[in-house]
Amino acid sequence: MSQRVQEAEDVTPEPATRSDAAADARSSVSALEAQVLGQLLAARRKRLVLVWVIRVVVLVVALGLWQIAADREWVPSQLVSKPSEVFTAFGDYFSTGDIWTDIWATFEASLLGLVIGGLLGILSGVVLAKNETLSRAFKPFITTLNALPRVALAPIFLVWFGLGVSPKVLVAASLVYFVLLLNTAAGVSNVDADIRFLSRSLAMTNWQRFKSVEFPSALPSIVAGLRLGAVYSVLGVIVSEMVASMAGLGQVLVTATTNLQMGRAFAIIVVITAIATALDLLVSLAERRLRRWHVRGD
Amino acid sequence: MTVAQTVSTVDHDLGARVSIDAVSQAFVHQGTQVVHALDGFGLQIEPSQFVGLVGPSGCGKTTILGMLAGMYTPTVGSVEVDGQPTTSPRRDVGYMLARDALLPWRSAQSNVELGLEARRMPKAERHEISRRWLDRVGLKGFYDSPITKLSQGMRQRVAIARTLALSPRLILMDEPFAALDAQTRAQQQQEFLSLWEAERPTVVLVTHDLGEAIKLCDRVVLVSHRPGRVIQDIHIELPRPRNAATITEEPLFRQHYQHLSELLRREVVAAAGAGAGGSESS
Repeated sequence: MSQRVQEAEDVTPEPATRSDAAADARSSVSALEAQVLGQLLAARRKRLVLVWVIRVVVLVVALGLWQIAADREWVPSQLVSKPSEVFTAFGDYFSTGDIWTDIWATFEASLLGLVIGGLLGILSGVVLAKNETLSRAFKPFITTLNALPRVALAPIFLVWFGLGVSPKVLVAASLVYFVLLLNTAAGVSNVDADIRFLSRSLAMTNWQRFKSVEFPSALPSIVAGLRLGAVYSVLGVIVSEMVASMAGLGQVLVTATTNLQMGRAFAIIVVITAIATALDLLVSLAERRLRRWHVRGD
Repeated sequence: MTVAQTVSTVDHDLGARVSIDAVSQAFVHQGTQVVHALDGFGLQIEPSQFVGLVGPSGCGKTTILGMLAGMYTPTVGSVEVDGQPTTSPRRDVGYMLARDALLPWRSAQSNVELGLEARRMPKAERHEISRRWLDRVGLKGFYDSPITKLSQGMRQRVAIARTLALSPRLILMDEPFAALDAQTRAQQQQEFLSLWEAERPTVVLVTHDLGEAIKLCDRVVLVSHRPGRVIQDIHIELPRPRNAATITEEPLFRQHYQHLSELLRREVVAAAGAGAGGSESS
């Protein structure tokens, strides 16, 4: 027993100088750090792989089931269509030039609806947040109008404005407006109390306070509102188009389903989704630009 | 921590003269309850004096600060800074809050610039002043750092830089070091003292920490429980420049501490007995 202990002692080198001991300590700490970091990165990588595997599996299973169910007529394939059919419909549809007129019609109206409804909503939100009296006065009107499903106004706007772009934009903007109104008002009123006190103590003018404190503070709420607004805007436009319009994907969708061209119908759904996603991406880009601006504080 | 070696000639032009005259203050709290915050509070402060206000919670000391900052006017009596009534916030008065109130979306440097922007100072000048102050508080190189990445102590330093960048004649501090841990607090107190020695603005510090008040101040004013009035006004004859770490050993420090803490204790007990037991903010 004592012999083994002696051997162990012989093997362990004794640090001859203080700097050696410090170097040993440093290298053992960095070895530990490397080990922990390595474990963490490995775990993260594993999770990422798993996430993608799940995504692919879900997609394949869903599309696969759909295809099989339609091929084997477990459900009437006439009504339900199948992925292969949707795929060919895409090809057919895009080969003609007409599709782009419709895509542009829907996209343009959605963008306009988002911008107009958004700007008006933000402006109104700011005014109401800063003016207690106006806010109280308008509250019942806002609540009531917000409760009304504004897509129901589509037929009325069509009577007023015809089959062009205007009724679609109006319906879309009316949906977006209330989202931004409420989100902006909430964002501006909920500035941190300490920060609000500070801005007053610095003798900032109203405009300075708005630009440097209130607006940046409300920005997360506003951006969230715009994201939601993008979805609602497309919704408003599509519904309006489905009621009646000269051009636009909503109209094409209704025509396709009336003629039982289900493959084409699903293809159009995919395109509509792409438009909504594109709008959401635009909002993200705008947000990033804004954030860079207000970090600098200029 | 080096203590400021330069003994600057005390320039009274840099400090504001403060006059609080027989101030009483009442306000409505939570609907219909009337709170009598201050009663006949009077205090005259000489230029460049460092004054501490100490008292139980809810005694009105933060209300006094608010009046000095021009945030509200007294119900009765007058509050004047450099001979002028404080009806609205002034550009030469700086306010430091308990929580730093930094703008989380801005970098350290642009936070320091906030007050300078309010003064419409041109960009180049703003950048120069804010960087200089960040250097002085020991945050050189952290100019573009988002403040969410800074420790509590570093954030407090940015707040100090922001306040001092305006070269205020009067600095109002509402328990600015309360949110810090003991060691950081001691360090920050010393650093602030050094910075103050160089410029000598008038300072009014509100604090619960009696030791902090005696350590830092020329004068400690003990405020009674609500409604607040001045109970004791003691000059602290400890020599400057002071070393915050060693000063607690001085016999004079201990003397003041024992004397004042007994009086403070009595007020705290009286406050607990008299009030709705509430620690409502003063």
